[in-house]
Amino acid sequence: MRSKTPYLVLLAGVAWGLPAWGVAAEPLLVLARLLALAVAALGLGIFVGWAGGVSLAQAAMMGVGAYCTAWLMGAGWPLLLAASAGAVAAAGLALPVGLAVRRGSLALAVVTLGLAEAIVSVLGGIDGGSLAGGPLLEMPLLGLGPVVFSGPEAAYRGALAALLALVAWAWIWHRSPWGRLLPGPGSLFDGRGLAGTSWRSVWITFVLSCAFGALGGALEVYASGSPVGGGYGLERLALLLAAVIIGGPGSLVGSIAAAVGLGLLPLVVPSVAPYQAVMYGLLLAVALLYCPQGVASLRPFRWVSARVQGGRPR
Amino acid sequence: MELFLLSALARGAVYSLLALGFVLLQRVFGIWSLAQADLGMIAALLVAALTLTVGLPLGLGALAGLAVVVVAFVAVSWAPFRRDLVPGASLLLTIGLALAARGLAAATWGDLPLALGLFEVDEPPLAVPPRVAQLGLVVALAAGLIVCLQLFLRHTIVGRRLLGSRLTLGARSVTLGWAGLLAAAAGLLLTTISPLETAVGTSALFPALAGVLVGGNGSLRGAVGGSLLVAVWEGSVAVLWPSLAGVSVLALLLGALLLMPVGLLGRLPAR
Repeated sequence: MRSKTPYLVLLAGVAWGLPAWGVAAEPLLVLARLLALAVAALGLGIFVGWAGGVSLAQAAMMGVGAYCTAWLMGAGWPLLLAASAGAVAAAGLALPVGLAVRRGSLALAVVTLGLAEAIVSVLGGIDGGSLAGGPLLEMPLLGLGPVVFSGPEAAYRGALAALLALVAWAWIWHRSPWGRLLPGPGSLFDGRGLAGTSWRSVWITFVLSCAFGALGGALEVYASGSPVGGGYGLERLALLLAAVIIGGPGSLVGSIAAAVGLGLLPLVVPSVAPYQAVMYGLLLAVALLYCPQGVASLRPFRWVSARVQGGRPR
Repeated sequence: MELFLLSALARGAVYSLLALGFVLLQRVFGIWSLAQADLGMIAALLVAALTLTVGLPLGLGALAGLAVVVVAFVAVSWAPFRRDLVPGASLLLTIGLALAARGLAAATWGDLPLALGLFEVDEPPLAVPPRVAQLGLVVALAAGLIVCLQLFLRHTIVGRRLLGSRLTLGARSVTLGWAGLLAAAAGLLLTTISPLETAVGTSALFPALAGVLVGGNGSLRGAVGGSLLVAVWEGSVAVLWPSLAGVSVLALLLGALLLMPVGLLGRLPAR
């Protein structure tokens, strides 16, 4: 059986070279927003798939990252530093709340629901449009003396670089002593949940997944211009959860592909845009009932996957 | 003072109904349903449609709305709940269904909030203020429903079987019916406290779930006690420190989880 890695490296290379092939600014910004969404979905996918927990605060964490980034960039910080500060802020919120993991999956899910409500209500009272005091895209992604990266190309490549770095980091984390203590993919669906696992490793994974969410929000806000008050609620959470389940819990590539696909859907078919909550909610429910291990576990996709890898379909 | 207490009690009574539905489904089916609050929202919107649009009298509209929601909930729930979902998966499934229901409600009803005017008393007896009479009615109705559930579970054959290990098809249907009724009633009663909009259920969902955990996960009495405690705490903080109102229940829940692992009257071990 051949490895999928060369195909993924080739795909990443093609994605990196897109701006050089004359792709216009607007599509690049759309892609940057989708990649930012994929970063947040990746974080949630790691927690749901590897740690067997349910976090309902991921969309709100995107909001924390977005608002922190807009505010700090308005104060003159480059994106890299502002996004890192947003991720630290989200991790700081997640640290005490994540202690609920000691009382099991339900306790953590309920506590994250409360945290999400509190964050959304606080962010709703802030005027996101005036936070940065100017267009974020004209502010630097990274300021190194006279070398300044900014604009749509920087937004796109910054999001792609962050996504690739986080995938590599997640891969390493999963093989670390802490990561090996996690129950692994599928624990949420075979009833094991958090039973018998080290709560500390689940706790740290939760904190890291929240930081991923904040980074996603930071990258998204750089590409979109300003944070949107109502954009980090349950509708966004449904999208992220649907991406994780459809992509396959614990599958890094699956979560990313599903997040990009689901995020693209309202842009490709504008008529579904007003019904996003219905669409993502139903997709989540249907995926849980009929393919809880992800779309890739369905027969036609298994056949394609096996052919790509040079083996025979099971 | 009496209005504050009555208001907290009314809120606690609504949270209790939602919490009881959650615990009932958890103990009978082993699932965690987050869709109860949005089911209540659907019930309230249906009653609004029947009374404000169709023109039915409020009492008749409320009864018809409750009946339709309970029957629909039992019918719709069979397909997903018979799959022996594990709790974590059921939690995600019900979130998906709840979001879809909320999106459909927003697309159908559009301009909200509405004023349903349920239990408004123009000339209350004993010369109590109309608002006090309205909240008193809410508490009395919720308490009546809770007592009915308790009597049903203790003194009927089907009720005693519900919390046992061998469940018949009928017993499962009855559980779903009770869960639907509790959620629908909570949604209707909630309209006397908050304006009727598609997020009305969401505002009660977290405090109700916090009540379940504070009272002790799996305990019916704990669900009621915990919900009342959460409502009184929420109301007190809102009065004393209004800026902290948004995080008051979260702080209470975190404190309770860390200091009382099984809650006030807990039954189930943490999973």
